[in-house]
Amino acid sequence: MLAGIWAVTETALRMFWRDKHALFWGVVFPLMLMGLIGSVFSNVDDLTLRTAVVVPTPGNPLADGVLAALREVPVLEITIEEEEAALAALRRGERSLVVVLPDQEAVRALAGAFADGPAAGPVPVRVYYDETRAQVAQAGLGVIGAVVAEMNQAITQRRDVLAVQAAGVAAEDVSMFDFLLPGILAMALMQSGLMGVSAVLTGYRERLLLKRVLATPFPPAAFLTGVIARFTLTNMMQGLIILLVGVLVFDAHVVGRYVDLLILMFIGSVAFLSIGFAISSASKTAEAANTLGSVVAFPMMFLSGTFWPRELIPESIQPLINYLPLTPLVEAMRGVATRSESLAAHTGGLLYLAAWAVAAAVVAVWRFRWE
Amino acid sequence: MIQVMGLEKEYHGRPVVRGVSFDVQPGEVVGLLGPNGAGKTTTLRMLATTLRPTRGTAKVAGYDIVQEPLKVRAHVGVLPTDPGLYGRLTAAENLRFYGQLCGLGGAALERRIDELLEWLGLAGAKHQRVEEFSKGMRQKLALARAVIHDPPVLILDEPTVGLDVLASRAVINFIRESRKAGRSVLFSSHYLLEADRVCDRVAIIVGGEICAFGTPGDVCRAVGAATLEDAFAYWVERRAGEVDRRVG
Ligand SMILES: Nc1ncnc2c1ncn2[C@@H]1O[C@H](COP(=O)(O)OP(=O)(O)OP(=O)(O)O)[C@@H](O)[C@H]1O
Ligand SMILES: [Mg+2]
Repeated sequence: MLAGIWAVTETALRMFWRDKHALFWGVVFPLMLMGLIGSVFSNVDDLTLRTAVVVPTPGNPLADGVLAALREVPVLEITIEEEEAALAALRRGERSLVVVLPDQEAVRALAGAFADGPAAGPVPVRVYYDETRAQVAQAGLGVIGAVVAEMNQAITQRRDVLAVQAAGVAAEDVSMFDFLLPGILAMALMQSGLMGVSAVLTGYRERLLLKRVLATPFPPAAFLTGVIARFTLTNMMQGLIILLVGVLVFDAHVVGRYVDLLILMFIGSVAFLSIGFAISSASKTAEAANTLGSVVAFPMMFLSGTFWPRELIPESIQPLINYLPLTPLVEAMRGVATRSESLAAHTGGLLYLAAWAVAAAVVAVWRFRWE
Repeated sequence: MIQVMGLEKEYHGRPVVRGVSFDVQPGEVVGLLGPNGAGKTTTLRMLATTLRPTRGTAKVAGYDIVQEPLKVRAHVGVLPTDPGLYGRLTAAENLRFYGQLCGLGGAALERRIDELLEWLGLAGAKHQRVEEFSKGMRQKLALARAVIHDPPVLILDEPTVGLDVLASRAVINFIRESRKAGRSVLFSSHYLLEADRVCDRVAIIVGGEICAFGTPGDVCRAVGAATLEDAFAYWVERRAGEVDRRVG
């Protein structure tokens, strides 16, 4: 029996290897996409400085004044945030600058100094920047420095009330390729699961190859086991090639554990294989399977955060994104690859993906036809 | 070797095969003859266990087609209407794959593959991909596949359809040699001359019912026909007449 299952797997692998289309769509195409998107968009983040402003005590006039002045600067994209969250975002490379405005106490000290005589030092405006991106840091500090100087001028004309206190923070440098690799990996697994499985199975069925298996004494379930093993193997190989090329050629960094990434690849393969089986079971012809597969695959390809952060997608369709089975896979893979997160941190999403897989498997078994 | 007992098949309530009964003895060649849509393929598929009968059953090589389909499959070689070979695999790979599905393997399987390819004149195409094969070559390969596990019973659906004279002869020889090897052969055909020459007995099936069953000579004599073709025409026309009468 095992020998028979292996014979099915081996034969199916051989056919896959001889199928140039499958090789192209499964391996070459995702890598081309990664190269293309990665090189086109790799410098985009330098155009605007995503600046997080921390306002410790709202309603103090000095801080409000600085904030208003910062808002006037076109290259700064200002968001008001808590200090801790803002610094974490800076470390993840999601912010270019974090500006901490003076709090109530500093302002009071300043006011006291005015009244009582002895000169207190200027009130600090702390600016955190990302050390790993020198140009961004330089530009950012330049802009903030100019704004502060202008404020000083406007307030007193005599002495500095405000002073920039710069502090570098080493962000984990997440390049476009680092970001893309997990997305492309997840997408490739989804593609070959949805499109590959249904194309192959409906093709077999249309050419009556499945029916031939029924005429042999080999148990049909064992035959399907062999086919599933072949897809799992090819998906894993395909994923490994993409991973290797991503890391070695595109210089993408994986900061998390490779083992976790492999586990995720396996989970993703099985889940989308299952969905692919369901699609091929539910469709009568290869064309129908192809259409249904595309209808399911395309929204996921563009909405699940594979090519760009899901934050860039309009608010109105955000809820939909949460329901797509590819989203949790992309998020878990990206978490592991770019933020070194553990698999446990993604249990919920992965369980959701597993629920999809089980539901699809039920449909596949229920509707499976040999001819 | 094959004993058919009141086999029936309905599609959506429409009877397609109605209470068919006949038998094939060990080492006997039986031809199933009938016009298009008579139910030949449906009958053969039920016997090959790829289609479940609505009612009735049959024993093939001693096993019940409904109760023990896996046993039946292990003892019957099937040539379907459409050969269904893997185009991206070579002749040898196709045979090896089916051999493995039938539980064969190792040197014995390799020997069997060479032997069959040699026998059917495909030795030169052993490592050629099947997508490059002509129709005759495919049919021969499908025959080789049918007997890869050396089954005592062969079920062939229109084995000579679309083949040229030489290829047809090769197939007929294959049937004759199979009989010589002690196999029972049941095959369907539209070529009555061919059936007359090779069959020990023939069954004429029209509208899902067997109208005549016996040696070609007996079948002709029963309706006073000179040739099998005349007997065939007699039964087809008579059935058409019955339908007319029923409708009119
Ligand atoms: N899957 C199916 N669903 C519905 N009807 C079917 C199906 N398969 C066959 N039939 C019907 O059963 C009847 C017998 O078909 P069958 O294929 O057995 O005929 P046949 O004798 O093999 O004909 P041919 O000589 O054309 O091959 C036909 O009327 C056909 O329309
Ligand atoms: Mg037919």
